[in-house]
Amino acid sequence: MSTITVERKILEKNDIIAGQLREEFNSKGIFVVNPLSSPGAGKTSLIEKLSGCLNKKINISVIVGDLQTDNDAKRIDALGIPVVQIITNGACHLDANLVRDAYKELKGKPELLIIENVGNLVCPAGFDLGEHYKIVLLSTTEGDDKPLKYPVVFRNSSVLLINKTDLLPYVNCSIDTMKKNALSVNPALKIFEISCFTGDGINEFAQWLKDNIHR
Amino acid sequence: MHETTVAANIIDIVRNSIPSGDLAKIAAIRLKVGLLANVMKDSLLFSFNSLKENTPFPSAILEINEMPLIIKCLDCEKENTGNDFIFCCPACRSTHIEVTGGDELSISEIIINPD
Repeated sequence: MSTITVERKILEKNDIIAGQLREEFNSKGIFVVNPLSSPGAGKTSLIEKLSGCLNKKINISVIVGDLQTDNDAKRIDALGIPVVQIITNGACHLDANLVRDAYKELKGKPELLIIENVGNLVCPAGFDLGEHYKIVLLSTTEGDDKPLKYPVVFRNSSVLLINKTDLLPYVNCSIDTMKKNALSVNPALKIFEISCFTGDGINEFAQWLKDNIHR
Repeated sequence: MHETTVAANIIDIVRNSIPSGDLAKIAAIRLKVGLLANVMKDSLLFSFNSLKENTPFPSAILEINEMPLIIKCLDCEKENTGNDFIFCCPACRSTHIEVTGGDELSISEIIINPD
């Protein structure tokens, strides 16, 4: 028997494309974030709310992934933001190859590119899309123990947006417990408490984005 | 994590790591799969065993070495190895740590039968 040493990462194909995308984004001065969450936690609503704060001052473009429909792209297009919809037909996460193809079609000269991932707290966590930061959204209706149940997505993200704070009086969720659980998995997480419904907290997160765009 | 995608990627990498004349002689493919890779061993074996039927190496076995989480404390410099998602130094309770192992998802070796 002979043993051949291989030592190759199984996701190397994705990582090579992601690296090329990141170089392209850096060369064009585009700051790229990748919001991840369960379905319905508020990724598209976040983009809608951010456009209100930022769009007149910062050029934004969006790539959005869903299994089916272009509902999200229609919502973003209605705001006048250049958007490309990726329909994955069953794939539960975006990968760098899909993003590369979508980026080729994207119009505009963005300073901020938002790559909205497919709603899923598991698989998207493991795929580099060439972004600068992964941002995880967790809503108050989902429960304060989710960072412990899905540690990898919280570990791989740089920002946690706790959304639907307006619903706190009606749900069994402790913000303090949620933050404690999230920080136990990733002590470096930057946490914002927001409501895409009322607009609370959106300006603070928009400021974080602006600070990073101009870095 | 998407075990079918991972299995398909393994097969692609094996095909372009080994000369085509030797593919049928593959006995085993050894992997390192870390705790943070989010891959379930049994699901990956199931996916691989389904997909390998259509390759030149249908008898190849996947050997999965599950790698623990290793964290190094940047304050007291102690290293800790474990199989739980704990990101806090057990010695000094600092959360100022770096992950030095446990995020592997790689093919380490391929074992080839002799002629």
